[in-house]
Amino acid sequence: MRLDKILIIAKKDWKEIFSSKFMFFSLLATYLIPLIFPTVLIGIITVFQIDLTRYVTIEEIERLKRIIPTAINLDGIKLFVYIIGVMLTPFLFVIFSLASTSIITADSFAGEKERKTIEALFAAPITDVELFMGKLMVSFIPSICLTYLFFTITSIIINFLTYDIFGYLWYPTLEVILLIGLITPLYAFLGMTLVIWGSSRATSVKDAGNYAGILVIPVVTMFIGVSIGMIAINIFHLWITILILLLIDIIVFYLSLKTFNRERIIITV
Amino acid sequence: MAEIEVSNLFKKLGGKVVLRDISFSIEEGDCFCLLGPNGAGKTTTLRILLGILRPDSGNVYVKGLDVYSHINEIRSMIGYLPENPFLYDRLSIWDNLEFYGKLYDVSSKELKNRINMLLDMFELKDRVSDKVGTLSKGLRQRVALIRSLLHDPSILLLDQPTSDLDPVMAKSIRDIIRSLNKEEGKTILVCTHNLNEAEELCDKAAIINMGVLLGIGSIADIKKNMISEHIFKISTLTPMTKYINLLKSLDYVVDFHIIDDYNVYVKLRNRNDVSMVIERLVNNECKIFEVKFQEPKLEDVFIKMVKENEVR
Repeated sequence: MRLDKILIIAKKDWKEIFSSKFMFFSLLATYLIPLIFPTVLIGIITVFQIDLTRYVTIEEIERLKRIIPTAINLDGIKLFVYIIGVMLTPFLFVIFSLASTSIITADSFAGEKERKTIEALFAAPITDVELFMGKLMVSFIPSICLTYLFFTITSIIINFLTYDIFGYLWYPTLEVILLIGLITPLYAFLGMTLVIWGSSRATSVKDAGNYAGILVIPVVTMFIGVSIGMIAINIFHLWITILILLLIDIIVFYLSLKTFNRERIIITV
Repeated sequence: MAEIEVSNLFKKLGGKVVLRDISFSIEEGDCFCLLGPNGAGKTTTLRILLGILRPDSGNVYVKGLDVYSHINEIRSMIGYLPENPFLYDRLSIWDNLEFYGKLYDVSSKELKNRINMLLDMFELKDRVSDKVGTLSKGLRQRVALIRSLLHDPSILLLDQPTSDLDPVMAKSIRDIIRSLNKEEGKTILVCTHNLNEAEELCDKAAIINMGVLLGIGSIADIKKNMISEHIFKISTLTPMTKYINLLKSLDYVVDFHIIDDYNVYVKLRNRNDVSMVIERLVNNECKIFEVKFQEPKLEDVFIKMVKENEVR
């Protein structure tokens, strides 16, 4: 495996993808949602001084504190802001980062198939691993950079809006750092691998993108699990999730590479 | 040692046999044509040579190396022009060429020189920053041909290099291919269903239909072996209508066709029988002005072979 060939493939795709204004702006728009939604919500809470304890029962508050153990000493507005920052925001980033990687990967791989440029690429002296890694890198690097960039902006805005309430820069917490820093890229990687695997079977960019769609289900399930108190957001659970995801990533990557078949791709072009 | 050696290739795609026992070899510096109608198995053969498809059985060697154990080494030696240019429409000509040059391990400095030299040769220098999507089919085909030459390969595989091009553009592409073969000594395999192109470009050919190799050899040999009837055009100074019955009575005349009063095509089983036809006509007071042998056309050979194969 040669890193320079992987980079050549990735650079070409970046040039191609970002030469399309539509592609560039739809990618940016994807990241505006996890930025705008929580910050606006926190803005409303802080401006209108919305105290969560006025709207939910004490039992409900206790249940929420069990879900997020680090929120044990928080009450009122602080608790409401904390729940949005720690529970809602990272999940939005996981889902939208998955969406953006799916868009780029599908365009990069299934797009080559749809536009039939894949044949000349297959005739070039590159290995399956180099091609596969090149195509992964195409979406992984911009998606992760954009996730980190937009999350940093979100964190700055949240801290700015809530500094008066907390009295210190509290965001992001360690749980959020693990969710954004490790779970988001691992999940995006899984999505990309599935899209590439699906691209070899799909006939269009749209079809290929759908393969990552199935990954939204476990994220939403996990979010619901957290919301109803079945899963708690604590460091131990997060590390377990990271290890399981890493294992799944390795297995899916290995299987996708093993089943990568130029012949099947070329005859369905 | 042959530059390309293909032996006993069998290939099934989607449950259908697309290649049956294909064998041929191409010597260094030859321009070889794989001639066949659409769906004959030409592109599949090229894809097997490039290791994109794997044969179900049979062997493929390029410069003595087995394609499947030296796949990237072999791909580096081959320049491939697919049937459609398959370029990146959103990128400029330069970006397209630079990308492929780098994939083929051409060093940056050499790549820049090669691109400039080839753009000059193909008269595309002033279009270098144009997006490929804005180019005509003919210009795209030129860019694709430049792409196949970037790493200065010793072997070129060209799949229908002039399909869908206007006659002027097609001629210019054929001139370039010929010069790559004759002047630069590149070994070229051309797949086409265009018989004029095959005759114009190649010395040797293999005729393929429905995955079966129907004939192989020099184009002259193929014509000679396949056409068992010989056609002569006889021009006279006396009206030919008077001799219809005479021609009908001659055993060695397979068929004849009166073109006009003074010209007739006569089809003979043996070439030498022409002297007897002339003798009989002259004895019957026919004044012969000219007798001309009609060179068999590759088209006739091709159609005959393909029809015979389909009947079988």
